Amino acid sequence: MTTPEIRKQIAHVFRRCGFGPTPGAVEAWEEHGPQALIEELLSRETIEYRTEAKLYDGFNLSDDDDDDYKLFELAVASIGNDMVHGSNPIHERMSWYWSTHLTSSNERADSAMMWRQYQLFRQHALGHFPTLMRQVTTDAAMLLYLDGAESRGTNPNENYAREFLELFTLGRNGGYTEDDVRAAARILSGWWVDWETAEVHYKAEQAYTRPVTFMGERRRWNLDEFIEFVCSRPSCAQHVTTRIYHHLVGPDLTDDRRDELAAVFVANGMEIKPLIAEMVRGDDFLAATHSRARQPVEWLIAARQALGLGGFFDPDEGWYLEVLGQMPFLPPNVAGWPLDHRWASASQIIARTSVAMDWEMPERLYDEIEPTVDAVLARCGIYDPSESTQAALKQIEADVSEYDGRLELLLLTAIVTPEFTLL
Amino acid sequence: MSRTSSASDEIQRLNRRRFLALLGSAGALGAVGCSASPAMQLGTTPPDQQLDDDVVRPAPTINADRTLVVVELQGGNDGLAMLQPFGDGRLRDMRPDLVTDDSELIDADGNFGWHPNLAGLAGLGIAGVVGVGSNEPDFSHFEMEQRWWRGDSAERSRLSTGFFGRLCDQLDVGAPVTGISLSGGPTPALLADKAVTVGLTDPGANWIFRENDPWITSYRGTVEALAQRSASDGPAHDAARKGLADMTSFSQSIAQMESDGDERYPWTDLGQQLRFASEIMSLDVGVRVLHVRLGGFDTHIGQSWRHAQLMEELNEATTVFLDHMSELGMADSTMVATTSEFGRRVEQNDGGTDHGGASTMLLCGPGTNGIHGDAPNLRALDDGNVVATARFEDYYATIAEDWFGVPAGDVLPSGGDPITGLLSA
Repeated sequence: MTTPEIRKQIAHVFRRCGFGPTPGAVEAWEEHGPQALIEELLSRETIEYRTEAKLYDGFNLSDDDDDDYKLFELAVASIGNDMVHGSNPIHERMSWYWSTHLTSSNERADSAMMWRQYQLFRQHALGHFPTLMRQVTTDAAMLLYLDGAESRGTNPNENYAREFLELFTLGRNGGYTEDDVRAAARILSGWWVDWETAEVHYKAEQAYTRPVTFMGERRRWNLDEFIEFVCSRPSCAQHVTTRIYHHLVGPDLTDDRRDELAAVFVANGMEIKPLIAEMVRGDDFLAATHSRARQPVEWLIAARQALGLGGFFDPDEGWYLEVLGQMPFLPPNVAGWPLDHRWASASQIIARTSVAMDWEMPERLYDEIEPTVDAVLARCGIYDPSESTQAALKQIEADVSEYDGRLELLLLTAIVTPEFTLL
Repeated sequence: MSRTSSASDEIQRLNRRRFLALLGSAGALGAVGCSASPAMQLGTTPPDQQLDDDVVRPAPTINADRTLVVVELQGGNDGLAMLQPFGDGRLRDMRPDLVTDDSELIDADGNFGWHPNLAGLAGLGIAGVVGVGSNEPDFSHFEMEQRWWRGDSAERSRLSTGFFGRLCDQLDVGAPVTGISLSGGPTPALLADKAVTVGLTDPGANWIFRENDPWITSYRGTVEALAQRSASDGPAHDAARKGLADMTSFSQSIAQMESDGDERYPWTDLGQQLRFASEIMSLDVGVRVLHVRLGGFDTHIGQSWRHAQLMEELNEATTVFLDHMSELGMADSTMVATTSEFGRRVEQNDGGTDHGGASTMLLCGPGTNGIHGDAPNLRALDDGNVVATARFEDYYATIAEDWFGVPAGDVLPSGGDPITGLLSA
């Protein structure tokens, strides 16, 4: 492989297995190659999750909306800082992933609940999928978001049951029927959230405890058995594999590859880490450069790193993500944020431009980066610029003097090029 | 940039269509690409459109200077609460906590009454269409949203465009932007083949296009250069290039816009989306379909107060907008129409309703009144859900043919039959 080709693949690994690359990281890995980088990242085992106390010293759980909003900002900023500085990039990537797969929203739950839920994702991000599902099913934010809370066995609320089957586990054609949705709603009834303490309680007298027929099985279900049963349906491994693949690799998943990966998932007892390892070791992974558009969170982190702005953003600068259309803890709906080309549309370019124009570049950048096309492209992790990207940037180099904002214009342009827009 | 050729193709195509429809009327030809002139409006629907379905209909006249404002009521709007049948004991039995007293309803046609919070719109004249849904309903938001956005019920549909995007393709006369979404970014409903459709996450961001500073001008020039294809491009690159190209033409089109910060609009999400809509419409850059969104209709709990509040929000913002359109002399060419992925279960759960079947759509524009379609029978529910008496494709067909004059078959692959009397006076 040529040097540009190796750099391109290393940058790709950093983009997918975490939220990199940080400036200089690609050059540092060049002599080892992309496979060695993948193995190195897979070998990291630190799983960090936090308690609330570390996040919001000085804030208490309260009904005060202002406090709740401060907590929200702190929590969002904290997620971003972990994405940049976390010691286990694949873990950061998958923690974020689960918040896009197992959606809940700050619109229905308070910020402390959302924060705890995110820590739950951090705890199990690379762990045992059925355990993650069992935990999230009775998580306070989830119970409130999808109306599992206060769903009574006599007249159960179907919201969680349906999304659990359709989006979280089996997938739309995963072998269940409308009757199964209604049956699952009975099995899942009886849970309550105490708003004062955010504690979750099970009230057997509110639950439906008689036998229920679900996917052909009639029995008195308890929740653990039910989750185990659903997660052991073959469609579960296939559906979850497909969703992770679309996020981590790209849209083109063949049926053969899906079955292969799902088989690995099942053979490893539905442990997530071995599935991810199999996925990123595949030839299809390295071949999938620029296969989908960066979502706003991915773009924001990459852009701020390129511009030397360090972490995510200050807690009071959360509006950037709102403008860009992807606010953590506030998904547009229970399916989460789409992964399609809309993140490369005119609308996104407009929003990204307006956000970037609001940033002030740190003074040291003028020492760190020469105002040339090559230096700016490397700074932005672009090692495979297309002809038109090169030409457009060269034009700036020719037209705009260093003393009239050439570096700023090169950087602003680089972060809206197709190469930077795509993951 | 390559938009010039496709734009003139489109004009030629429209010319041909108009020519065939009107046998070469000079007035009609003059209207093409002349969206600024209200005098050129070809408002009336040809009478031959109202013939029975088995009669072959001539291609209708395209009303390319009319505008549609789609208000998506996201989450599944309870049609039975928005437009309630009078004196239906069955409804009162099934949802005792959620019915409005007959005396409070605003009489629509003697059989149905609008929610009391819709008084402003009712005063302007609204039409209701009852029983709109799918023949094979689904109860997932995402599945039903996809169907409505796509404009196609077929579950295996491979359409990559949205219904309103295809409508924009038909209405496109080479305008720099034909469809625009103001609901927090692009909507799949506006995905088009040829026409430029744009979604803005933040309407305030458009100053970038008006600034004449040399640095910003260079940036705009660079964006245009980045839109050029490269040999190494993959499919995702194509999408990124199109985004850059669309940004360029969009930026050129709204360079003249001045935001007047009109204070009559309420400071609600919908109110501000409609304020921006009015600014774009005043510019007259060729936008024909505007998409706005009001969320929060997924009323599994707390429905009685949540839904009433949403009706209030819808009424307040839309009434202000339509009054503004009247002032601007654009009321005769502006139609507001709602969509929503489904209705709610007829029977209440504890304090709300679960996902349901068919629902009611609301339209407000020139001449809209009365209730249309066949009222669903609340004594013949399907597993507790309202059975559709019209497909949403029929509702879309009405908008396509009777508002825009676009043949339903050109925008609805599964077909659709306009609902008689709704928009065809």
